[in-house]
Amino acid sequence: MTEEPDLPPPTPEERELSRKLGELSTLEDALASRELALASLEVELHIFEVHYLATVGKRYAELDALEAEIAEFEAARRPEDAELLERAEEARVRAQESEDALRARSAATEKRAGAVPESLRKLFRQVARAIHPDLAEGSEAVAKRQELMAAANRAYVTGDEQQLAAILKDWEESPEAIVGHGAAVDLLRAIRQIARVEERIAALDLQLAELQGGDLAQLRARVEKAEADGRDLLAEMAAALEPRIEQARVLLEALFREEEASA
Amino acid sequence: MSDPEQPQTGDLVRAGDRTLAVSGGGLAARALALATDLLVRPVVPPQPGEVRCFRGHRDCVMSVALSPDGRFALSASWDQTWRIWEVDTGREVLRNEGHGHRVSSAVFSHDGLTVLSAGWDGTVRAWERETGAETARFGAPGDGIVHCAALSPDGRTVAWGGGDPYVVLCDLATGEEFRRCEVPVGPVRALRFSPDGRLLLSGSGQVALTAGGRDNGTVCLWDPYSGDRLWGIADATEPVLSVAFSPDGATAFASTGWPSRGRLNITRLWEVESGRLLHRYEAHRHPVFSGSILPAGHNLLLAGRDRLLRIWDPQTEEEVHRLEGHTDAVYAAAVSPDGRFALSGGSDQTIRLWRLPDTPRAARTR
Repeated sequence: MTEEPDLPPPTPEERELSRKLGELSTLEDALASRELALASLEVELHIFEVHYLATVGKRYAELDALEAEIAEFEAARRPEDAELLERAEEARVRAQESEDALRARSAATEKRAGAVPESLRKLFRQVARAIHPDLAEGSEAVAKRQELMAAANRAYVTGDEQQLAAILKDWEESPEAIVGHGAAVDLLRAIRQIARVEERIAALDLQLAELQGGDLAQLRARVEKAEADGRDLLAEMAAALEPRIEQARVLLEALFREEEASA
Repeated sequence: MSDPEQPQTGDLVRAGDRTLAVSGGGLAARALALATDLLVRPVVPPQPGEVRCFRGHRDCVMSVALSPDGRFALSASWDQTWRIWEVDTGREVLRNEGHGHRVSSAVFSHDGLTVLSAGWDGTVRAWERETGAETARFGAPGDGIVHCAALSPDGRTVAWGGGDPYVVLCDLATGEEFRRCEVPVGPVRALRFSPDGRLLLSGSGQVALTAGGRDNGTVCLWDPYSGDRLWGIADATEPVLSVAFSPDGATAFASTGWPSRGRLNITRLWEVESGRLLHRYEAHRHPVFSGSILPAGHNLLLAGRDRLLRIWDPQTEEEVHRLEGHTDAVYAAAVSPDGRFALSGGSDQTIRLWRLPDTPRAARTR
């Protein structure tokens, strides 16, 4: 039996504080998990998006471009028709948007491919746990942590493990890291932090739900469901678009020929 | 693409990353709509081949048909049932054991609401497709095998035949038999109304049952309402198991074959109007049990003992395509009205749905 040090019994405040700190720690874990889940979903959707844009998005962009050209052709033939002109403008805007979406993604394509390794997930979770901006006091400290968190997100999304490790290392060596919640943390501060973390978790849950309910996530869900049934839905979609593209191409060709003949 | 309306502290962290999930131009929304559409629509594979296999029969499938709207498949089997299947899912939706004997043939009426079946119990019966309730009956149990039955496009006239050397014509509504058309030799094995309903094509014949006997077969074209035989051949060397009209009604098809014989199959095409023989082939090394003339072209779909569905071009006398999947003889095949799908059934007790290759003309008009 070791001898119990003769300490005065903890005050009710001290007991409450230690209870709150335990609660906060649990919540911080939950928060880091949410951050990881959200970042992971973003990565998965990103990977899926690259794939779907390369198969289906590409064809939509092609179709949109052809249709815009056809609409412009028709508007030019009957300049007095305001509706045709409006339709042509809409078609052009849409074609441009599809083109932009495709180009934006192709630029990002090289950065990432394949699934997220477990080591990266672990590292990200560590970073999120350590530097989360909601744990800071004072606007300057919050801003600093926000900046770091954004950098961590980017590193995670692009799969840059080195960058993520560097962020963590820099943070741990910085003076802010020492200003944790230690002996100086009073009960009031702990309660405030708990409220903030809870709020943040709720916000992240909302973001997760939004992302999951988004068009891209739903599209991915359908593709995965079809895959389980042995169907390649993206290929089917591409095949469904092919005849429309072909049709538009033929129509456009015919319009060109008409134009030539009348010229 | 951040959300400028909600500049909360919590969201700032991700503000720079949110573009990830949001594609420009509503592209994802449109893709999602297309994906959803494709998922709820029946699969139309771009490549020819087997689409679906319907399992459940416990004996040979002898007859298959597609409902006019393409939603249902109908099969008749020696397992004493005829069944209806949902084409999109392969689910069996109706099973009828009313014949109490082998069912040799089953067809849909043109409105798809009635099923007409013929069985070894000696009867031809009409049923409500929805409920399977019997609505009419011809022949009597014990009259011998009924091999085939056909329903005129207007749904009024039933033609059927079996062991006796004649085709029986009845009014579906009254049940009255109004004519018998005598064929040179029985049994009557195949019957088809022309697309306009004015003509009836019959195939018949049998194999020699005694030593020294002669196999024979006949093909006849009838005006079923006058009973006149417009033309025919009585010199087929083997029973005629399959007859068909082209979708435009201008060409008639018949083929011979017998399951247990390995003789050369003979496939013939006639001009309906004149009875002129257009083509005659002996090219197939296996008996053909079912044949159809595909729409939008002149190609034939032939099903036979070789387990294959072959698409045959009679002009060039070449096989254009073959569909493999059945593991035993194919006894029945039917083509969808648009010519894109075929249904087949046979000895392996399965029914299979196939995507047919686009015919050259269909491809051109697209």
